[in-house]
Amino acid sequence: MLAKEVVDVIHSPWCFIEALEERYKKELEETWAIRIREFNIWDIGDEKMNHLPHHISQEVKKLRDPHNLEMRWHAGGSIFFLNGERLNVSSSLKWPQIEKILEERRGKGEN
Amino acid sequence: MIEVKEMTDEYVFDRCPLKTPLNPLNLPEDTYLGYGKRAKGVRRRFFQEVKNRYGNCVLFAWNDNEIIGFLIFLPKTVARKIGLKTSSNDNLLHQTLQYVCMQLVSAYRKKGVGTTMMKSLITWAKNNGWKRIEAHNMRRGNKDEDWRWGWALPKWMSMGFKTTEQYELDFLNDKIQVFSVVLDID
Repeated sequence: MLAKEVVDVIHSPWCFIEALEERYKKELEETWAIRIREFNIWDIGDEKMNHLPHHISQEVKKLRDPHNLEMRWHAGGSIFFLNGERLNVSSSLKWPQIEKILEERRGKGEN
Repeated sequence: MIEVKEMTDEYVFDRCPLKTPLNPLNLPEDTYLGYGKRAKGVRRRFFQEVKNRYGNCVLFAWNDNEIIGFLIFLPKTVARKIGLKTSSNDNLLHQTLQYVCMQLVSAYRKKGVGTTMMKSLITWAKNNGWKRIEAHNMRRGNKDEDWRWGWALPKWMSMGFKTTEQYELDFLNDKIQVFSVVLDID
């Protein structure tokens, strides 16, 4: 059996509007045979950083760097990854865009 | 009459954007998928926790019994923790408030309510021992633009803020100038 693809999402409480209701989350997971993992940046204390997937901890460090200017984040919106690769999706209603990316990649036989 | 008041435990803010006046005693059902119960719960818990720890983080503009505007602010350390833009100057780090966002129902814009909310924030900061307020602004070409529904640079300056940092960055093939502005509170 193939391992499920993993969609990771970093939410800020600021833009947690993209957090899915549990039933929609389950629907998406079942429809696309994916696993969705969500991370709330407010809940991530320094002590937790070492236990996070590497790409998540790196992104969180970047977001907390005062020299960093993450325009998409500041404009609102969560940050999405597919199998550890950061996805370049625009700042609102990202879930439909994620579905489109999955559809395209699977259509091309990439995954 | 419009009054600006601190958020209280009776209604902890749970939504965004504010498109129509909001009566906390009769909250409308929010049908937008993106604003489900779970998202509201997270926002509410976040604002409640910040309020408990630091005193407050939201001012509301009220017209009678309805909220027609809000201004959100956070301690700079909290703003940085959740990944919001903060200036790299860490003087007074633990005594600095970060302007985060301000919105008004459209019918109440351009009537000085935003200015009143900002003045209320300055007073609140002073009364609660904060020494500095920080905000950000950007300029694209010759045009000043707001940052998180705040003001263009001249308006910040008119409120007594001073520019402290300036960056340039590429954003979608545009060169953008980003300014940090601060107000030191006497």
